[in-house]
Amino acid sequence: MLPLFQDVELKTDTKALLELCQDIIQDIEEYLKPERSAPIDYETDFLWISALFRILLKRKEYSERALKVSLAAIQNNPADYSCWDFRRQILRRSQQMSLLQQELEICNELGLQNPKNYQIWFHRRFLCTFLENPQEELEFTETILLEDAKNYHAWSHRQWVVYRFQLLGEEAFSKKFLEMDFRNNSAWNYRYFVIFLSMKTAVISLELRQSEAYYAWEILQRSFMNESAWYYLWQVVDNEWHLFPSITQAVQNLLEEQKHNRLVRITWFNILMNKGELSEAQAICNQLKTELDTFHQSFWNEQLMIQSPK
Amino acid sequence: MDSFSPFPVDLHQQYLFKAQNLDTKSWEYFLTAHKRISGAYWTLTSIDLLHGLEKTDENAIVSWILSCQHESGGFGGNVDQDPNLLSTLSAVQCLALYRRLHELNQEKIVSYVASLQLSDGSFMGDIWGEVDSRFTYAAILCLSILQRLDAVRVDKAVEFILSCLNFDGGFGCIPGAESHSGQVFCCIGTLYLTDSLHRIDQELTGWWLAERQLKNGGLNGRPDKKADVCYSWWVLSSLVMLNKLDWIDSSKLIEFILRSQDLENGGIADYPGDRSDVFHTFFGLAGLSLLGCPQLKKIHPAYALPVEIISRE
Repeated sequence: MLPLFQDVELKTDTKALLELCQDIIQDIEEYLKPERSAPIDYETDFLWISALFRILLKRKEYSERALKVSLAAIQNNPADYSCWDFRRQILRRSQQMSLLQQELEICNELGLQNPKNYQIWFHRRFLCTFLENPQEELEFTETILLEDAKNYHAWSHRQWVVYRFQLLGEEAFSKKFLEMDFRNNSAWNYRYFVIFLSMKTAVISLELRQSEAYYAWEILQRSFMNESAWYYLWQVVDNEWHLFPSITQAVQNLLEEQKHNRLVRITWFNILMNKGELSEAQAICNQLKTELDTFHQSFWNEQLMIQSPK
Repeated sequence: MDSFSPFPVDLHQQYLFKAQNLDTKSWEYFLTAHKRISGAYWTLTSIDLLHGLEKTDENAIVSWILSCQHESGGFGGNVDQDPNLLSTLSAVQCLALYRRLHELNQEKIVSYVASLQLSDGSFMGDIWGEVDSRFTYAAILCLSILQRLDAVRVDKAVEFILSCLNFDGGFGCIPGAESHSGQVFCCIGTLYLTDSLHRIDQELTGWWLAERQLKNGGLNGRPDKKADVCYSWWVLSSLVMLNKLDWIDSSKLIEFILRSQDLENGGIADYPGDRSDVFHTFFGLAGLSLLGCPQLKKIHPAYALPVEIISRE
């Protein structure tokens, strides 16, 4: 079958694919010619599959065997984006639901093995626009996040699904992940997104903001060094501390107990600025600049200059 | 005065040349074939920062890059790869390094890039439609290098970028997505290149960026994550564009980058003690350049190319 590579051992799967493509074997051998003159490091199967795929791609052959060959190529190298492009060409032409469903299974398998691969995540969105299957997408992202709770692709994919299908009830999901790790910035961002941004018809009431502020405060009780919880609180309050009097008082009460906590002091600084108590704000500024937040000296210097009487 | 020592320039050059001449029979060569053109950009720019570009095989490289161009005008990651925006940008950047932009069919590139803009101002990565703020930056940068920003709706592109601005001052890949240093760089870069930085609260964004510095001096990509040398570029260049480089502790960051060098084999890794790679070598060198390392050419924070190339016009 392979006159020039008789001494090469190929896997059964590879041989089967080559048999399917007997009519273009010559093209493949032509394509591989430069490789023959020197010994090769990597498994020959990969070479042959890659060559097979490239020939079919050149011929723009969007066939069933092309699906088989490109699947083998993608399993060898899931980051080869031309291969994913090629499969979309085939799927788009066929429009068969069963084929799309099968493709999703492939994405599930490869996606689990390569959770940070851009191509696979985008391919899921392509499929989703045809399959309209938000539940499966939610399940898949959850599986990925249970392995790596900060996988950026998984969170932004989930947000894409939630927004596209206007899904409700996702606050519980953010809570689940915050319970696992209350410092998880992605989970905090997701919470903000699902509560305040995702619903096209959302109304942001003061009540809602207060309830979220109290939620953040509850989490902060467990550790006042929790960056993300503070960021969340600051955003929900949005420089309107007068609308959140009990939290404002609680921050003030912390000043003594949390003497060395820069985040508490920064919050208090913001509150003072909000109230217009500039000289007290200046004192905090100095403390941050010289003791608590020396990495950001220049920033605090600038704040001091902003406040000084002109 | 910051100290940049140890910093074995020759060793790093050696490492980069070796990486450029990857054994074509190796598994690594095979696996990275689809993004060879971006690899070329990282390697060549690094070599140029180290004043070594004239030692590269310029003609062979340029003709290979030109052969990656498609009918559509876009470039693929390698000769038999589909065209996409990121590879097109890398191709243009490499030709800019060699001062051979005039050899490009610039009109075709411009029309390819323009064809990827959507009605909301965002850019797709390729014809398949993936949207990510990275692509808007790639498009705007590409056109800035070719001085053809007139070919697209800059105002709409800016609106899209602004829609990716988050409550914490950072930017995500799409509206509402988590703030991430890489995305912040792309968005700030776009705003810088289109003279639109005044549209954001620069203090707030500067603050978010400054907060990326950890006790070990390194910078991270998001809150509560590990430091990584690549953020030395993305966070740092953003701060430079916002005129707030002094909002972080430079000497601690320099220390962190230098400790991430592989002093035996050359190159820079993501973290002290890890294996070096071309990607992190580029970002480490670019970061050191921004921090004033005297042995390196000055790099432009928005163009990610040596300043001397940008200001030649």
